[in-house]
Amino acid sequence: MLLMVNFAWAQDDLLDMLKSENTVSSPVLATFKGTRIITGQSNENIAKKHLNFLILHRFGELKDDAWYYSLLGIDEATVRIAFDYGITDKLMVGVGRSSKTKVYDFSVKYKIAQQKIGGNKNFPLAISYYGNMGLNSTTFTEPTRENYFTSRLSFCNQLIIARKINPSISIQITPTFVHRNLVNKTSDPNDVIALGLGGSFKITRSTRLNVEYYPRLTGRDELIPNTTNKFEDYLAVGFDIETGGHVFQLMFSNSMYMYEQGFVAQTTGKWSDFGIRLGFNLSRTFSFDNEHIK
Amino acid sequence: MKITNQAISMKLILTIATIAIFSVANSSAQTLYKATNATVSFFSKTPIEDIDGKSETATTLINLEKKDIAFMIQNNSFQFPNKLMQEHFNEKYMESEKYPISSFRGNIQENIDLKVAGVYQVTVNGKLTIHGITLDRTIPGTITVKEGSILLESNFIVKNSDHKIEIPSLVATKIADELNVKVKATLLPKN
Repeated sequence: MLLMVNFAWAQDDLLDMLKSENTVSSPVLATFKGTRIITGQSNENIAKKHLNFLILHRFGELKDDAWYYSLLGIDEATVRIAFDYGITDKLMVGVGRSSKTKVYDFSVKYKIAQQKIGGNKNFPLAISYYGNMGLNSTTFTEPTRENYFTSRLSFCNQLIIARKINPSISIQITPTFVHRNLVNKTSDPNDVIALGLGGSFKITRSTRLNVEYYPRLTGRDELIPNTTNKFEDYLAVGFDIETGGHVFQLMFSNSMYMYEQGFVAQTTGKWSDFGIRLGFNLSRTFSFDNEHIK
Repeated sequence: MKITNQAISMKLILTIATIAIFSVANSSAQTLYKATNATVSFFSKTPIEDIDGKSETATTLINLEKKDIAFMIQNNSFQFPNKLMQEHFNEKYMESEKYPISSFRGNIQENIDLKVAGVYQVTVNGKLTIHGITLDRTIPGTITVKEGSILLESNFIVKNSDHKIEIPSLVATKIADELNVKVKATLLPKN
């Protein structure tokens, strides 16, 4: 009877009643500001019928006198131009091209699970799959070797596991599998496995600090061609500035590559030697979703 | 004998009390109407840009006897034609992780009997909570009472500055301070 009296009394406040009856789980938004934490992929996709246009730049290394002689390395700019398009809210496809290495890349990213809070269908993690194929379009330099079209191809597969811990901090673990059909020497491995780690820290509501590190688990002994130095693990620190429709990402990294096969397996710069490069990503999103609101 | 008599009268009182409370609970259930798919849309108009968001999952309760109304909406249920705007709306302006819901609770001022079918122009005095700021508001609306359902409709204005929603000067020309809000809900008897 007491319970019933309580029940009748609780009904007095309609708003409390609505709140207690709410069972809807809310999707966690903006784990990262862009589709990339810095150069590597984040769990974020472009929404359905939205096109994202990206211009990425990496400049020359800052070591020795380059920071003034080539003005922060700008004289040696490499560029990647890319388009990403959301087919659905979960499925995104992309195409890009990098200068210098003349690699075209074709990618797909699919949201397997979304982090959700509250209600009765919450889930602690965001999980995505990312895969790409790189096509090297440079002229083959060794006429003595038999050159196949497939020799131009390289692949990357990633499982992206992210979590927004609180409104200010997001983290990500990215197991990465890179395969190259053609490598420099027969002793070089075709496959490289790395474990990407990333984090993002909100500074103000329009700016963030990001860190990204891709330690390789295999293929660590591969040498940089024509040297006795080994390739390095990729490490970058970046800063996001968002201005309305643009996201501007400024970073320091030790790689000139802007696609996974490059920065995971072929990073040459040493942070300890100032082998780092200034770079930026500029992205602009366009909506082609016209039918949404009547 | 005396003891038995007392026991019987106790039982009787208990029974009556139980019936009374049951019937109270019952009658209150019949006066309660609920919607879980109410539509809330808002519109910001400036010479440079029009922005509109719409949610179709707001929840509403009305108590016909007490003429109380409650409204609740998950801020991140608003859909925008441009998803980047949607993200900014949640991340930068509403701060939906800190303040996940907006709500209104109020009381209908007019001396009317909402159990009788008809169309009523009403004013509702109550508290509107957006972005963690609760304001006393008087909101006009129309209530259409039909057999088995109730239609609520209302248009009113929400000022961003009143609710401490800061618009950076950079985008101040694109986002109006005054938002036109439209609410429409079809409520059914709550069981």
